[in-house]
Amino acid sequence: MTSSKENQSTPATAQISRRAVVGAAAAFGLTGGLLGRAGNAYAQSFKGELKILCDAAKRSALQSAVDKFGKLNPDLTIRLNAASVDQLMATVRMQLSSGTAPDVLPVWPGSGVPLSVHQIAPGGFLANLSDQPFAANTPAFARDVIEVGGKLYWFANQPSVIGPIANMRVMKKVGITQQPRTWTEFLATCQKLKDAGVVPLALGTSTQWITQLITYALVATTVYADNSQFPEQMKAGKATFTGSGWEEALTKYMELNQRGFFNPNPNGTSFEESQKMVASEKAAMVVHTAGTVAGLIAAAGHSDFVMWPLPGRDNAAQTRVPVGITNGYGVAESSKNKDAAKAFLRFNNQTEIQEDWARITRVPVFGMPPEKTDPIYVEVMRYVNEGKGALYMDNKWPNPRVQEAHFVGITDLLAGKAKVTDVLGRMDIAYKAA
Amino acid sequence: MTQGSARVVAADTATPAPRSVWRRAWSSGGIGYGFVLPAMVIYLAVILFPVLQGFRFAFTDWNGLNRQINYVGLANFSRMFGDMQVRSAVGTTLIIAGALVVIKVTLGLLLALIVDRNLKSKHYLRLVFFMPVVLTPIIVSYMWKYMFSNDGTLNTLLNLFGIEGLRWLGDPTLALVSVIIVTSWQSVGLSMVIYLAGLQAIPPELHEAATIDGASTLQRSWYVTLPMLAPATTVCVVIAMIQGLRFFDQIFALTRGGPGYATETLSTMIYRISFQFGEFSYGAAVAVVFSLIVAVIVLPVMYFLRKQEVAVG
Repeated sequence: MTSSKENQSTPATAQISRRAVVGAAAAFGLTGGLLGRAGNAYAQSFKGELKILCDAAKRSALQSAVDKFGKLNPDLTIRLNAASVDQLMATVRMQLSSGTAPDVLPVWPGSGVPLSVHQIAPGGFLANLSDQPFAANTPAFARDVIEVGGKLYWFANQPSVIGPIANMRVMKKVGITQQPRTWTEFLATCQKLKDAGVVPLALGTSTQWITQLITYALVATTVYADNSQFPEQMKAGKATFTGSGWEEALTKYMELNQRGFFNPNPNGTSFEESQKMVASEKAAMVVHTAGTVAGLIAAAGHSDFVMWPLPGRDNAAQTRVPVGITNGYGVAESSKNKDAAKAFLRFNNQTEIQEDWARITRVPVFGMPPEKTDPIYVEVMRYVNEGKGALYMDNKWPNPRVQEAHFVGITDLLAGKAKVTDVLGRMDIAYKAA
Repeated sequence: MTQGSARVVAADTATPAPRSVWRRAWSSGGIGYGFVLPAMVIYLAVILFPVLQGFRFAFTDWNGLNRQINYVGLANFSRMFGDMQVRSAVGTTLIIAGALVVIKVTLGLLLALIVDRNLKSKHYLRLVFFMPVVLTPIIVSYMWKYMFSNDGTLNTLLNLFGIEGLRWLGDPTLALVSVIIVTSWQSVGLSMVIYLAGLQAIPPELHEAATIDGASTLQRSWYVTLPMLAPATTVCVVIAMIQGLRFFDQIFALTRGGPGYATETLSTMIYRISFQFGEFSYGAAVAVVFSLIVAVIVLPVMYFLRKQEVAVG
């Protein structure tokens, strides 16, 4: 159980304190353990139809849970549909407003995207889940991007982290054995890879959401190491992107480009191509989210990968890791089978099912004990558990236009059509337009 | 004979029996409306009603979720006129539409002239040139996306000749050219078929008469063939223009409007504003203005071309 003191003292977008994460983990472990033993909590059998919609990347994990839940409820017809994130963003809002939304639907934290909980819950489209057992697991560090008005409307079960994912087989071939711990060391590592004829960093910014990842990995250090209250200051109108650590981060992003550390033509390269480059050992690293690791392993045919924190400065003690909450699941208020939908989410909260999620998605879940953490994440999760995490930046942005300005700004920078100050200026305008 | 006459007389002198409503409807052509009614209902429900609703939403603050919809007058329209991205999207849309008209009309006519000749392979060539038209735009776009990729077919070919691969979809200018290439490749076959039909409808006597009068091949093409193709040109230009103005699928699959906003058209912008930002009312306002732009461009062009046809006729 997370103490109330921690809840009050930990701002949602501040650096994530060790106590908050460990507290969340302990809370989850306790609740999950209790739930895991309380098998007869699912003795009630549900009937009718249960429609579930999910992000395509999570289909396998959800399918596994659906199969197991279906066995406990033979009279319940469960229909699982998956779609890309773009499709979900485009269609689910319309389904919600027209009362045709699936019973269980994907929900994102904060307010930065159309399906963010702060955008859809206030309209009364999501059922209140505050009375569900998993409500107690809400991690304190992200409480205000998960909850709305102190109420819980979705089941958020997985964190995500961003960092360079290194193909260790390439690293060993080139003779790199040490993790770079400062910005200068990182540049030296990239140079060594480049000299060996390997692309140091694969980058596929023709897939829009990829554009933001290197920025976030750097901003975690260049902004949050100095000022954990930056989002709150922005909200109060006391800080802007321009003139902040964002400038340092974007300048360093472009330094990587100028030094030739990316593959040629990143703006014409897709996420899939960048992943293929690392899997096929044409490139050594790619800065992606934990959610992409399963695909990378499948493409490479081995799991010899490690995710590191991206050091943003030459003081290693300042290094921070972007950590966020991946999309989870809410229950539509208009659902005709609300009890079954809630039971399905409770079912997913069981220890066994959570372990399935971690195994299938190759993404950590809240409360996973360190010895069970995937070796790929051991180093990066150490930073998170030491309180050196910074919440995903867009979680606290007031509207999706800021993210769009960032996406477009990065592609403009890579195309040489804008300067760092232009991009930050556009982001400031988009932020204030809310 | 007598009996028959008597019956006729009786019929003429008798008071006409009241006709049923159905019978009257049948005789006045009302049954036709009956057949049209289901289609009309579907049209009203699926086309007209959403269009009118969209027009209404352009004057509101609807975000796709808010139950209380407020009228905001012309706020969305005034916002649009200060939006640099809208201006940029209008420019890109016009460039694409203009390029498509020129390419489709020129190439379509050229291909039609080739396949209209008495070649052995003419049926095969017609099939080859027309085949892309029947393919799904999204599939065509993904196929070309692969060809445009760094290690794709086009760059591999360039490398074979010692030329460095191009950033087809990564460079803002080349990306625009690339999407025009893909759309032209897919749709020029339709223009070819329209022109081919036009060519085959020209009476051979006209060419024979011109030949007897001493006209050269070039003169026959200029004074006989081209004027007789005026109706086909009208159809080709209007179709190309409308297609260019409402261009969406290929851009969405190839570049999503990027890099930056380099290939953002009004159609992709409306999608982005409405479905990615959830600003449905603003998206509706852009759509209303977009419809007006299409009407303002297409209607005068149609009027001019039809006038030309009449002059030729």
